[in-house]
Amino acid sequence: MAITDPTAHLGGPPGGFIGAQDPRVRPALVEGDNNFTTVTDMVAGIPEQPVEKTDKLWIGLFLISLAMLGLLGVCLAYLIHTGVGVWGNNNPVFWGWPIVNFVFWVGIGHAGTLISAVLYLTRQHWRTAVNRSAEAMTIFAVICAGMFPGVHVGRIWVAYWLAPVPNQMSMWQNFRSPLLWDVFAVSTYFSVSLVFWYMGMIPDLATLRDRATNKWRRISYGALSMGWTGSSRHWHVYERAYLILAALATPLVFSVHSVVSFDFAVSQVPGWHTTIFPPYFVAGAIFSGFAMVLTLMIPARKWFNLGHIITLNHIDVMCRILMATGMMVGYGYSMEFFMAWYGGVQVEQFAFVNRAFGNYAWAYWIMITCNVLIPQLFWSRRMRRNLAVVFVISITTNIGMWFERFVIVVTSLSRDYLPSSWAYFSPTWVDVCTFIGSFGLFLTLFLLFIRFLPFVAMSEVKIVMPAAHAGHGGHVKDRHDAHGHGDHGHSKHAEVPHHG
Amino acid sequence: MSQHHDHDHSSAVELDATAPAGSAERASIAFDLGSSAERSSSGPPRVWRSLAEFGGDAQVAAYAKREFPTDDFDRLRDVDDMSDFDGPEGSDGADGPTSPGRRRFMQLLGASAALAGASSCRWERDEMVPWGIRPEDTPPGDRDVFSTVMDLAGAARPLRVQSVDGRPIKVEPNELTGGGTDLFSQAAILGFYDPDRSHEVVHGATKGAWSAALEALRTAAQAGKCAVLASTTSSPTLHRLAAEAEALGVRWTWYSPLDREHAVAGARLAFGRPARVHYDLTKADVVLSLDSDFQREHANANVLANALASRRMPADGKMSRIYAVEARFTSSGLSSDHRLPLRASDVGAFVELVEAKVGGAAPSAAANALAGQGRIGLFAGALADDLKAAGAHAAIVVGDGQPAEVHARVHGLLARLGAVGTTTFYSEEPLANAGAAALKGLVDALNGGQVDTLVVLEGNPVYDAPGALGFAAAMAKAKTVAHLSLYRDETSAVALAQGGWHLPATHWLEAWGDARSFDGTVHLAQPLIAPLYGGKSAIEVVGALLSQPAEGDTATGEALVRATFGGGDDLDGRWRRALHDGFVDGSAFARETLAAGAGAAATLAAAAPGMELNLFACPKVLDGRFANNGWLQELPDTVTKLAWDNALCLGVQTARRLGLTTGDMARVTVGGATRDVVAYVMAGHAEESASMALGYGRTSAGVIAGFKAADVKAVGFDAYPFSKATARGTLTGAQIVKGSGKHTLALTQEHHLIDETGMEGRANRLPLLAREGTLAEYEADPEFAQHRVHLPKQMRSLFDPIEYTGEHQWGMTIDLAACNGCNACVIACQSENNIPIVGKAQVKRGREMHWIRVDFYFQGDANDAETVDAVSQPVNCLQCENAPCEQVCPVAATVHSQEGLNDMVYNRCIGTRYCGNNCPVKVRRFNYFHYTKFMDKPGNKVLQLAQNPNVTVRTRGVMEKCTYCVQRISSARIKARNVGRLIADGEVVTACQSACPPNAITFGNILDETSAIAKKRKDPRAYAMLEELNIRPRTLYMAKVTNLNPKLEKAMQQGAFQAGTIPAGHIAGHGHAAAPHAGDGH
Repeated sequence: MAITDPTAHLGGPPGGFIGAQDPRVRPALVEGDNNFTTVTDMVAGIPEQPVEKTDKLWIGLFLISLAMLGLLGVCLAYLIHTGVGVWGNNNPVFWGWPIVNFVFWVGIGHAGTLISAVLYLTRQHWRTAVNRSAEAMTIFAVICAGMFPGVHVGRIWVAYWLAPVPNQMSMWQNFRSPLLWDVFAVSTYFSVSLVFWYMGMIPDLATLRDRATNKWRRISYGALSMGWTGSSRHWHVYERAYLILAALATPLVFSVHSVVSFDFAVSQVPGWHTTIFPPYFVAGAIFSGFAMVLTLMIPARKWFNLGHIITLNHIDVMCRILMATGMMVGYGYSMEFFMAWYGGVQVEQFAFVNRAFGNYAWAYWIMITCNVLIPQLFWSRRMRRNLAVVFVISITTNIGMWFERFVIVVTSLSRDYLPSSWAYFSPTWVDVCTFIGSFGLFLTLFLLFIRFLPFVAMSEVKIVMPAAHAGHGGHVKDRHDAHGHGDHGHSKHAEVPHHG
Repeated sequence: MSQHHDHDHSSAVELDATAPAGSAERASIAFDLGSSAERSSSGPPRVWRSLAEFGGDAQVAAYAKREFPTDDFDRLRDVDDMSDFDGPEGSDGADGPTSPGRRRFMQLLGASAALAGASSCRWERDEMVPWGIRPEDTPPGDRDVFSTVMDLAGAARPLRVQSVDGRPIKVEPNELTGGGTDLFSQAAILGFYDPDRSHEVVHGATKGAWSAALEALRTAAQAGKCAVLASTTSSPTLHRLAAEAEALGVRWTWYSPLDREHAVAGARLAFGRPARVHYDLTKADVVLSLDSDFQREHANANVLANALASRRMPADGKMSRIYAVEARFTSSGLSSDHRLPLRASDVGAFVELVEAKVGGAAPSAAANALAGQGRIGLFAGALADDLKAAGAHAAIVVGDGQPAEVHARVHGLLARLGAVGTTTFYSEEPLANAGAAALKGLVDALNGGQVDTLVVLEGNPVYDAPGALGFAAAMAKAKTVAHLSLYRDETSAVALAQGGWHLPATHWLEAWGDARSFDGTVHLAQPLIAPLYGGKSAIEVVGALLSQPAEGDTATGEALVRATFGGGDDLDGRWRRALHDGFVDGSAFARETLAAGAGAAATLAAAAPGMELNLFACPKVLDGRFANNGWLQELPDTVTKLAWDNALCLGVQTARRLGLTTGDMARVTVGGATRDVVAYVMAGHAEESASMALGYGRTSAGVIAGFKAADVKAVGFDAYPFSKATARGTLTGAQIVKGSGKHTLALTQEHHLIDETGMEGRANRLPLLAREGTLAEYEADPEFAQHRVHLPKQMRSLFDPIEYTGEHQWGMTIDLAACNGCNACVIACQSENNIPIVGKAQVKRGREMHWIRVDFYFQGDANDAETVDAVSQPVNCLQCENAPCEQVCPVAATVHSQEGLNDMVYNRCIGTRYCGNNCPVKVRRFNYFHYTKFMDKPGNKVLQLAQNPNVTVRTRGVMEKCTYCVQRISSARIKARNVGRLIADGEVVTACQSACPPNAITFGNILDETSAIAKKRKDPRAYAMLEELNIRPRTLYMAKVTNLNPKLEKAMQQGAFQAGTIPAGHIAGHGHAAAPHAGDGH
């Protein structure tokens, strides 16, 4: 692939050690001897695999996920039949694992939209390799998240009273309650993310439709691609809409977790009532979201041979974000302590001393170790490029972030104002199984996604390939192959916004 | 009659329309609206009763004109049949076509006369019937109140019981005899409706009948060698019947583990005759409690607690000073200014020390040795000086577990102090012969074959007789055994196993009876409902055994009680008066001042070295008689905070020496019995001493407390096997070693289980929660409590403050100086507000449902029992004006009323539990499960009757909490509004307030300047807990003031803080909080 200055901003020579590379030239985003055809083949090949030739590994994982999902179903049925007492929640700790899990999953649901929207607006082209799957992850994580507050209420059958629908009681909700803000924030975030994800997928779905070799695929992808022809008009509208949605989604990325943090910050429980919560929750959410992206991408790129699309450079960049947000979270932890000391409020001081040295100290130090100490390894480039290390750290980060929510929710509640009402919380098997089950729900959806939908945003990856800009001076030998979806490919080039 | 008319006319058309085919012709006539010749010229009638009349049918018109139409309009059709039968002469026209003929008339007349005669061929019956149809003028929810009385082992609890639609619902104190009730009275409602109560007479393995049982027993008794073992009661009627029975040669024995036999024996020693000791603590300047939990366990606990508290208000004149010397931490230690942890077996030596200081004989060597231990000598010296200074105004209350000699010595000491006649006086003792000594006589008689027929009237001696007596084995020697009991308990099981009888007893709420309160006043008990399960009272059974069976049942409870009462036909209305008031005026014992004789110097048994074991009646289930009461079982004990168990309480150092910690099993050997029991480490417990509550480990109690036959594990551990001469008391020479395994306890409050960080945090904030000060501090600054926390002058809320525009603004104060942690409020609230019990597993999870709880905090160095002090603080919903719970509820299920109540709308609640999180005092309770569902089971439906119809029975998934008994406020409001006035002060009394014996709780309208609550709120001791959160609570606390002895203040510091070392709360800003500001918005 010819390297010329005009496309330098889009990619230098593939791979290579950063020291050996011309620092003025960014490394290519797509590595290897790839062109539009190979990208399409690589990505579209996954959903196009005939059903009977489905990968054994996929089937195995899917069955495991289904089993976990079944466990979730059993737990929820038991819960709804019996009452929330099947969980470990008690009198001071009215919120236990369900809310911990809720915040945990909402946090994970941050990376996708952040990658898609924020990085899109900031022209971070490397995002194209991971944005589709990250968005899918977001959608599924938010589904898991939304489930928890839904089933955690005492009378599940009237949970809809949280929605401002006309009712015979002529009653509004209490708009002073952060829980209500939460309902709005999470549902808005979910719907915008869903639309964003789906809309971004339309050109790729059209590609799948055009390449379809059987009736069912033609019908289903045809319906899903909503008559996409790839005309300039389509591309024009699509790009505008994408930009607008990105602009819409960007504040939501920050608002949703800020609002989730209000659940705590607006209350007066010592350890919750903290003004630093909104930014610190958002940082934590990005932290956990990127960790989850890494946890999913590292095996996926290996499994589907996507190493040239999701390159080590991508991993590297995400590790840096992980480290940066990890340190933000660490700053949050230390600032909470500082403010507790500086504020001079006795119960507040106790809340934080108790976190670190009380009967839940073990949870606190797991959190500190996983979230603050371990990511420091990413100062080393070797660590950032060692997939095993990255994979393990991505998991410890998720563990750490789960414990962060546990520390905030459970430790604070277990010892608030009146020592007479202090109590230790311990989960039940239903708590544990419901949490495992939520992973079942997530993985089931995710596995279905990678099996039946374009796992990588083909059209977007192609845009950031040098070949896409051949018309601007580069020589592209396989121009014809660039037609992502037949003849319509031509017009696509015309409508690609010229970044420069 | 009028009803019949209405009915028949309105249904006439319907009857016509549905008439069978044969009557179709008449029906068509009736409907022929225009055809009649008789139709009035002025057109159809404007008012008509049927279409036939409207149509002007002649027959109908004639019929309608008659003055007395027959009952049945439909019988018009039968006119022809009637005339066929009776002949035409029967109808003379005037009577109309339906008039019966002469013969028929004679027939009917004869039959009526015959039936009228037959109706008199019955015994007069006095029936209590349920309300199948609501009588007129009885609106649903209206309550009838009846005076009655509960007898507890010889001491009456005068009560008023509220009845709704004929079922007893709530126990209240009889305010004519003094305020407050104990928790046993409050819990009686649940005990009454207990589905586990015995339902039928049983003979051996088969179902029996009352008539057969009474006949069999009467026959057996007449054969001679008959003995009755009755549970001790103060009932004059049963005592009268007992005397009659004894006159007939029946051997009669009174026994209950609660008998005050040591005290009686002590009086016998001191005065040469049995006497009852009474205290007037309102006159006591110095009170010494010797190994006595008198505010909970004493037969006269309520009166004593009330009197004690009345002298603890610094604003009301001279405060008393209270000393407590005790082994385990009790309510006395809680109320005391100075507490000395002392082994119960050392109390005698301690009395010697005090006696010597006051001016008696030189103490024995043992007493001198005791004085050398720790701070005992110092304490005894300071105490003796104080007692001496108080002189006539000194009072010494001795625990019922102390041996007779100690009681006797104290009588002597009181005489020397000159207190007799002022704080202490005596009276006759009606229960002089009750107790384990009498029971031993019966056991000997049984073993000697002198008893063929044994009738056990209530009580449960197989379970609760002292273990060493071997009562069960002795009982087996009797040929015929009958046990009258509320439950088929351990004694019934043994009786039935040997082919005897079990007879279901009545509960006091369903039987006639009488009882004497501790001061001797006679009270009458009247049934509020017919016996639920066809039981009979002990009075009725004895009455039936004594009388020859006449035609029917003459031995009714009412007749027997009235016979005791006298007055025949009640022409002077004394009986009715006594029933109405609940007591017989002027029936109290005469006060006597007895002179202590030489016996008052009785030699005290030297304390044996080694461990001692104190057995005491559990302040929750007493001797085990209330074991199957779920409210009482689930109640957290004041000090240990143990629900659903008893435990072996040990001092901190002793436990450490033995290698035991709370929850470990310990092996206890004493008096030949060895049992494994769970240990509980109690701060402030005397070292080398152990205490254990009686009343647990039941094997035949019911599904709550344990029932072997149904595989229900026993709650707690049976301590009776350890007991020797008497059930209660101290056993020396106990051997305690670490056992194997653990037993999980349900504790509602963590004490020493808290880690160091937690303890530190607790110690720091405690002075700000339950505020305490010394009398000196109070005198220097009466508002000291309000100055514990420094607040910004103005605290603002994020939201607009709610405007409280109601004409009443409700508020409450809880006086920490008065509270002794008796828990009566908790049970009263549970009864009033339909609060479910949740079971041990749920309590362990921290899901108990009590709306009011009594927080208890130990203070001081747990390793040194002599420094340990404690404070208790009842906490219910503070009804914050700026309530954190309301702000966070997403569905507005908890909102404020205009009158300042933080209302809970159960229907609206979806159970997010956010309110619970945001409640700083954690008084909100969540229904994690459908805790009331078990009441839908057919066998348990009777429990539905115990529910207060004015309070919602909550379902699963909703939050609940105290609402200041809003249903009582509403009832009062309806009454007040009907006559257009405000609710008067004292018209609304909350359940907790009404039950509280020392009047620690005050409630009312804070806008009413003259109300008790307004005055309390102006008291300088009033402070708002957690006021720094700007929650503006309507419930204020009154700080506790301790009256320290200057000699002990520094030398024997107790509690975490003393004057001058109180850490002030640093909240923010400067300035002091304004006076409690509830109602500002008004």
